[in-house]
Amino acid sequence: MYRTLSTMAALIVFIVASLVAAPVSHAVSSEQGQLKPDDSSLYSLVTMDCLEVKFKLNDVHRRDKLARVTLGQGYDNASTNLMGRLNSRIVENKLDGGGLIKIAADFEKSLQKFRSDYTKYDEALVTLIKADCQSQMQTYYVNLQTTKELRATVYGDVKALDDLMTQYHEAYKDFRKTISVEEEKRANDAN
Amino acid sequence: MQTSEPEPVLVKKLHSKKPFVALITGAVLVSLILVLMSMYLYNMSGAAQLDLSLPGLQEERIRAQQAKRYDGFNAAGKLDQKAFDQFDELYKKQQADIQKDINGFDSTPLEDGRLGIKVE
Repeated sequence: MYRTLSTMAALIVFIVASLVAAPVSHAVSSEQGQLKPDDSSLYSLVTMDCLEVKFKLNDVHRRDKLARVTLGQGYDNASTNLMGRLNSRIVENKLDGGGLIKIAADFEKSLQKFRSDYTKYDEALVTLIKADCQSQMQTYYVNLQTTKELRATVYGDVKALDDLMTQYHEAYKDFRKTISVEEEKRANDAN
Repeated sequence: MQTSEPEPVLVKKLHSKKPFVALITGAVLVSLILVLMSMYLYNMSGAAQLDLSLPGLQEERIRAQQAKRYDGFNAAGKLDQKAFDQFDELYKKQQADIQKDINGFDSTPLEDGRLGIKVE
């Protein structure tokens, strides 16, 4: 019985060690992969008050979290409760709404991209907040540039989603016009 | 005829306690694994990034909670002018709400000047 127990304990310790080691090794590799040796020479002199910079970055992080939650809810509602439902209704009424369905699918894809890009940006920002700024100011600044690029990608995703929402609305207006014309035609034929 | 000596009382007590100790240790280990697994999933799934329940995020949490329940457009029914009008109204309102936060990720907050960084 005790042999079985000790085998089980060894197995459990192995699983625990694997679970703990996986994120740690990921974090280490991502930290190492962020900076190439030549990059820091791009900036000859960088001066900053590290405490102030980290305080401001923390503030940005808090505001970004709220923006991510608010925008995420808005996009989810638009995709699931508006586009998806109108598309279902179009299919149920046996109408041709291919254009709308395509835009809705593109919107969903862009939404996935926004979520994944935000995750990358958030990880970079958190790493930056925790990183050593005092002794490696240039390295810190180069990492800040990478974070800025990731933020720009997220901003691009938001703009793309907004464009798709406008496209969907335009396609919806065309669709509505077509249906109204057809209905009018049918009414005239009946008379 | 063999006669076995009776075990001392202390040894008997220890023998009876062993399965109990093993049970407790097992339960602690299992709960530890479950906690680690849930923490791993919490961090890897992206839920950690949407979690506003941390003590430092009280203000953000209150603002996020102001969002009302959203029912949206009904998925079933006829597509007549009334339904189109309803959809139009809901869609425009939703888009306007989203556009309030559309510049939430612009480059301004990370600009060097904003962060007090000087580069030469």
